[in-house]
Amino acid sequence: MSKVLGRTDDMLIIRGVNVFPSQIEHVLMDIGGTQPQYQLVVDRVNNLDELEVWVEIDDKLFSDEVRRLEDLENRITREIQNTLGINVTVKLVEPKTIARGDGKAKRVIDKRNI
Amino acid sequence: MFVKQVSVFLENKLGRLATVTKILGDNGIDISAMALADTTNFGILRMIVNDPDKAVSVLKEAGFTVSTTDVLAVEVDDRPGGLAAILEVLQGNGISIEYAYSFIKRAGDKAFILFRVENPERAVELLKNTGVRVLDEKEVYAL
Repeated sequence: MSKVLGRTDDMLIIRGVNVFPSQIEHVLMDIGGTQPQYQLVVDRVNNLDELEVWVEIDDKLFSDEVRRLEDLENRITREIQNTLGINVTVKLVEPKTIARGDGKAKRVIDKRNI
Repeated sequence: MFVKQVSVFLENKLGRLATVTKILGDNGIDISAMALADTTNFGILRMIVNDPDKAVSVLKEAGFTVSTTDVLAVEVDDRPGGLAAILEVLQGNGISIEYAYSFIKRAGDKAFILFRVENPERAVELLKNTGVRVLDEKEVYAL
């Protein structure tokens, strides 16, 4: 057996709550119809865990009205918070912002030094 | 009667607008009007260009999220109250404006304003009935 490299399910513990990326995937799937590219960025600010969810804006999600994009951002935030029970910050990003690796996508960037 | 506006999603990051304009410039696409709507995290760039289809394809190729929207291009007398007269027609008929911006170029004593309204067909009809000139695609792309 080789050295343990990580969890296959990418589970994170944020402020004591177990967070599975698949939960966030489900929310995005429900909202967007297809699943947009996303990335989770975890950091520790003032000794507290912060979770940012970056969502790539594709043609289907895009609108030329600011109001609609803000509504989308708020809706994603609300639904993820309802699912996970913790606060998150949602950021809409341009396509190709999120690194695509071969094989397993790099869904999580954990900046906490634990 | 509508003009194709090219809308681009931009992150609030240094150099994004510069990148878009560079791509358009390199492909010989001329921008005749533009407006940038911004929020804390992102922006939406709206433009009128001389070749919208080409603009969309070159920007998509470069990885941007792009869409087109029908907007109205209206001729306005370049004098105090010129724009107010047009807005009065729309307002008087209960047509809301989502956003508006103006062309960089003008011709003679006329200025050109772009409108995105909730009911474009009705807006065109009302404006024409009141003698306001609404520009067609060909005229606009040639500006």
